[in-house]
Amino acid sequence: MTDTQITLTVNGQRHSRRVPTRMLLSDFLRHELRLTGTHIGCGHGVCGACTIEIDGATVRSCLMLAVQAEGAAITTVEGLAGEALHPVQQAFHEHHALQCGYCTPGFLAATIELLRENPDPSEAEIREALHGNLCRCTGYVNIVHAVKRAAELMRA
Amino acid sequence: MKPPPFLHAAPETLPGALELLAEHGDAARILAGGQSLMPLLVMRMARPALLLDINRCAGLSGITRHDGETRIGAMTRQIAVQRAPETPALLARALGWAGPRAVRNRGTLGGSMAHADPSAEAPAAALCLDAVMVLESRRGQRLVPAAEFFLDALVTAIAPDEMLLEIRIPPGHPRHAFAETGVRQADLAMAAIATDLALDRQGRISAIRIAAIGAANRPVRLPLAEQALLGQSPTPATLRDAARAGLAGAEPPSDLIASAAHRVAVLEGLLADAVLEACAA
Ligand SMILES: Cc1cc2nc3c(=O)[nH]c(=O)nc-3n(C[C@@H](O)[C@H](O)[C@H](O)COP(=O)(O)OP(=O)(O)OC[C@H]3O[C@@H](n4cnc5c(N)ncnc54)[C@H](O)[C@@H]3O)c2cc1C
Ligand code: FES
Ligand code: FES
Repeated sequence: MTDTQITLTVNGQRHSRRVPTRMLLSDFLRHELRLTGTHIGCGHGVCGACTIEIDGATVRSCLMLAVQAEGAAITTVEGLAGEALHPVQQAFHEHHALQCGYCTPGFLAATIELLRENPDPSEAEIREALHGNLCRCTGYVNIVHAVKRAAELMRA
Repeated sequence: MKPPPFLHAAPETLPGALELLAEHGDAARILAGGQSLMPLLVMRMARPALLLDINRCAGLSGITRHDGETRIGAMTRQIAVQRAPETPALLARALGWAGPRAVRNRGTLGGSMAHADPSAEAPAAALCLDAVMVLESRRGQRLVPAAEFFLDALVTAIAPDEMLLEIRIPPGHPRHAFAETGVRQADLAMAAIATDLALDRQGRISAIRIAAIGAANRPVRLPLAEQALLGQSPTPATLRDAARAGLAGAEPPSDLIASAAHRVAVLEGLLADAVLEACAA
């Protein structure tokens, strides 16, 4: 079908591309920009693996069209670490909060949004904030520990 | 997964959007937050020729107060509705149950009403609060009370050339509660009760509205329960009798999640819990 020109910023870098209007944002990030850290678990909004940050808020990139991201500023998992790991990545690493790692990019994005608004969340608040992200490996316990640890690291 | 091909239009003005709707009618589908429509597209359960994206359309979001009435633009994101001080507390609480954070960041209040999922929380709150839906088309504007808006599962009073513009909520009673049960806490509601009420000086119920999710294929009010509770003090016996009266004729759906009889039993318990909680608040 018709193609549309879009310009957007991903992890601080500007990109301009022509995309088919029906291309999902998740596919655009993975196939056009080759940022394959954004994972596709279900492709229809139920697992949270594809969660990224757009203009300061988390969204599921499989539920947006690439053309809708015109002018947006996006952060994917590739944009989190600088010289060192992001404190949330560091905490997930320390606490074995991942096994296969498929769900991890989505959990990181959801955790960063939580800690920005609530620097010292209770376990119930952590579980509430992450309930939309599915993990088939860890059983979640270590993820909750890691978020607690990340909160400490970020308050320090 | 990949949606079927479509034309994508993202008009920047309301007249522009209404013009396209009038021209394409049934062949067009409005795209709001996409949290229900995008899954339908990738699963090819919807195949609109034109996707009318109203995310760039000016003037469709925001929350204002007019003489105690709250007016919420259809494109206001659910998270913004939930957090705004102007939002009636019952609606804010109901939205707290409406899916994960990333979904509420993008999903809109208007989209939730227009989609009319029978298990959705916001429509039940709207029905309880006697909200009014403002529908607009090139033919003009009409106001449809929530009680006449939700017609069936996924079916509303919105005509093919109309758009939901705004949700208006008149001032409510001082007390409220929202009680829900699902398979898992975060999941879609299997059954839920929304109530708002007032007490007199003696602690008797002087005004009450009750809406239920799971009692039918759409959100419904429970007028017989409302009548039974009016003038009463909320004791376990009056609550049980009122819940039985309210749900006596109910025809809830029976599905993999729960049988109709189970839904009725759960709703009776939720109704008592919700009214007690509202009275104690
Ligand atoms: C993982 C997940 C969990 C969810 N959990 C819940 C939950 O627990 N409870 C709940 O209530 N919802 C839940 N939802 C659905 C909710 O998030 C959607 O936001 C809502 O149902 C639709 O709103 P939307 O803005 O995303 O609309 P869209 O998906 O864009 O549109 C939905 C429908 O409404 C129509 N429409 C939208 N806006 C208008 C308008 N202004 N005028 C006319 N028609 C319009 C569209 O054409 C479409 O048919 C969930 C969704 C996901 C992905
Ligand atoms: S891949 Fe987007 S939510 Fe599962
Ligand atoms: S670590 Fe494998 S799915 Fe979460």
